Amino acid sequence: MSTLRTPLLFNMLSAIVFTHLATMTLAANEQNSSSQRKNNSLMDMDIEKLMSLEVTTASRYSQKLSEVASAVFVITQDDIRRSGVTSIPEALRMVPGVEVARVSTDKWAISIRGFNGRFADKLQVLMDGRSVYNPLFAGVQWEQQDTLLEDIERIEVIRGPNASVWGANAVNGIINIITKKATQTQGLLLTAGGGSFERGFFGARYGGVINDNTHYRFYTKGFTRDQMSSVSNASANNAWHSARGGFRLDHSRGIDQLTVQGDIFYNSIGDTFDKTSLAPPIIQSTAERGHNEGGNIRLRWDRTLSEKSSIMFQTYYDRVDYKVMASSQFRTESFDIDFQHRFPFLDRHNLTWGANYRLYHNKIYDTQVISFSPRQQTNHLASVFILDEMTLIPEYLRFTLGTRIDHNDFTGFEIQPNARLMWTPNPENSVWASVSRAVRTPSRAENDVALSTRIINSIPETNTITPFPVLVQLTGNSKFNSEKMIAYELGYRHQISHTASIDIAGFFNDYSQLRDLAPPLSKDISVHSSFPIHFIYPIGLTNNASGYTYGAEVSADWKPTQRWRLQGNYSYLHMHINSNPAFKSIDPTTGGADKVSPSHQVSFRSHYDLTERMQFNLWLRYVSSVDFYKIPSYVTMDTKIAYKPVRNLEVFLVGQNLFSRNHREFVSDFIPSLPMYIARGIYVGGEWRF
Amino acid sequence: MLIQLIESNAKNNSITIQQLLLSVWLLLLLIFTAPSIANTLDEYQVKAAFIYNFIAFTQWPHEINQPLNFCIYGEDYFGQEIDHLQVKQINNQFIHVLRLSKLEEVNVCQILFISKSNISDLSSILAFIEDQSILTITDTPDAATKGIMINMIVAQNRILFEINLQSVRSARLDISSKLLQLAMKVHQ
Repeated sequence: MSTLRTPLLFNMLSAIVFTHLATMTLAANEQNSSSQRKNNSLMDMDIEKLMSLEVTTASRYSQKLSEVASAVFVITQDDIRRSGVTSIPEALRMVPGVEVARVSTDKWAISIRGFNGRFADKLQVLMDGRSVYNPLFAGVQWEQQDTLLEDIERIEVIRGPNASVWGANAVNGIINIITKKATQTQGLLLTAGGGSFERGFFGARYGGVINDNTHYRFYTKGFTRDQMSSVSNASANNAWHSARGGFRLDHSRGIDQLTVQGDIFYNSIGDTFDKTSLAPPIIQSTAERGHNEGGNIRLRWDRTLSEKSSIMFQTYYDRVDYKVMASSQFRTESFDIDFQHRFPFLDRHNLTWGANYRLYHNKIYDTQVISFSPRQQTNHLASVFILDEMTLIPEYLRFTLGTRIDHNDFTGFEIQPNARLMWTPNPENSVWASVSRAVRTPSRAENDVALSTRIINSIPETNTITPFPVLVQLTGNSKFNSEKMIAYELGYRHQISHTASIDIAGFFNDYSQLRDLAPPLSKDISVHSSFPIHFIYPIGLTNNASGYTYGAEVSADWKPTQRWRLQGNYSYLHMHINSNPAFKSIDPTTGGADKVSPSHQVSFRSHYDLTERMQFNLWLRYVSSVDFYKIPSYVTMDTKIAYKPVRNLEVFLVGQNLFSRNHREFVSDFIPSLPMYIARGIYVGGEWRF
Repeated sequence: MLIQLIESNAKNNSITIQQLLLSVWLLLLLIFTAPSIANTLDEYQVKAAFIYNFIAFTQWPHEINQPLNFCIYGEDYFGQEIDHLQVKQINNQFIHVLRLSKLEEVNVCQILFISKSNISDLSSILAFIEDQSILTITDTPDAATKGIMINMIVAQNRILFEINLQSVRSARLDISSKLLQLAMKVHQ
């Protein structure tokens, strides 16, 4: 596959570059004439062509948002542009209730409403309907989740469980990254720039038409990001170089719509271990370069039967190869088939049901840190769901009842029901409440892993100082069960005026059977006699922890003038965990999780149009302390100034993390990568559209 | 860095110049075969064009010698878009766009568009024009089941339509089979 894919990437890159050079002027002319033609002659169009045209309706989002009985926040394309962010993880800092902590250049810890970590496992993430949740380690590898940011239509973030619609592991929330249709990305776009941390980047996209019903686009992007300096001043070795390309084809014929989409990527990354945690010679090498590469292809078919009735069929294949020799080398593949049907029933009911099958195949190679037994496995996941939206009192009261039944290879059947009530006394106010159950199913690692996490000088729970170092090894448990959660949520939305709105959401999450660590029986503590002699102290996994969290998020939007928009939000979180006290100080994922997530977060953005040609955007953030890692609270600011000298060209200057030379955000858990400083960054760039 | 990547890949994997040229040529072919239609359109701009097609595919029971009168009853969401109908001809017949203030004026209309703003009176409007050969059009959910002849809906950002054939026939109108084929649903 790697010999097959690399030339494909090469072909695509070079093809796109050549094509762009050749077509710039021509495309510009065509665009102008076609837009004139369109305005004058919609009435000359054949009715079949008319049926394939996309239209915008006045109040699509606001209407939808006020109707949703859960805590939803939407990042729009405009938000992404004005923030100056260069990656999807950084954009998520805008969302209330979401914790984004950068671990190093290419690593993030992202979660919603607590339990953050490099392998945060209670958050489901979809890119254009494709799950990017890693079944091997659980969680999302954010460095692999990217696309041309200009092609993103919106990112929908739902806090709280939504397992009955989105499936297992959508325990604390779901992030839905949705790209534009090919019809909305017509013409040529070129962007490039560079600076201090963002050393250099480029992006190119071309969208065109095959016939009136069929549109396409190709894109490619690449960047190189600087290495970060480590807290201990050791060489971090983690500069990040990335190349990516992809396409999308949208075809519509009457009531049918067909989408084919695919991407390939290559990331060159690196990692350095903390020598105090995993010292040589037990681990031979502490600094490694490596890479990951992958690709996916997706096919989706939609048929609209009426305004309230439709069917959807989707299938995709996704593959990732990952290799950073000291820590991990693996290949994951997934294949998915999804079907959904929506229809009205008995006047006041809207039923949606669906079925899903997913196949995971993965293979992991032994490294100095990780080994799996068995190395290779194929897992199957099958599920069905049904959701009934009932109108109790037309226009005032709606009730939604749904459930999903999953079957997975590790824990068998899982049932995840939810009930939601939405009361809209008038168009300006809405109140919603919900109760739902969700599960986080075990990952392959929790069943099969042997992971060397750190070296200590004494055996825990004994006071004997051993003559040899003790290697703590995390060991999988084939009886490990799902983590369970019941969530109670309450929300209120108020449209203060047509320029201002406020959204408040509160929650109480009750967790049971959380993952805890268990000390080994003394017979299991072994001496590794080869040089260097050391004890192996295997820590097991149990489901003995429990806990609860509560909190609230407030988000407000205000447009004081036509040219000025303010958006602010505040998030509060309290966590309480009952777990084995012996491991509270060494387990940041459960036992110490209450000290990992910041209690208070604030984000405040100001988008101001100085003139028609000039924008000035500010983004202020506050994150309170992370006590587990002794990381102090921080306040920082990003800013973007954009100027359009001519119609097709925009130049911009972006400053990131401006308030201090550098700050700390997080420390890698499980794999002891060196803690990093997040540095101030400045970059300039331009964007050219035809 | 990327250049290095490309170069090293080029060395490692023997890509012939022919392969490269072929891929460039295919891409160029794809791009030049058709001009672009950019971005999305306003809902009512497209609905106006649909209405032109609906009129063109409809036959009235007897010859109408004066221009066809297209009437809007209720709030006008089309703006000037609908006035483009007046510069078009259908079978050598001009179309006049009228905005009705009272339902009593409906007798001159061959086509009646009932706006969303007046849809709550739908049953009385339909009762009022019963037995007249007037093509009724609207854009409200479920209107076709209530007796409107052609109802437009927006689904997945596209405009689709449904037809109530029974109402069409009882008004002695004839709608072309092409339109019936394209309809999302035909109520018999």
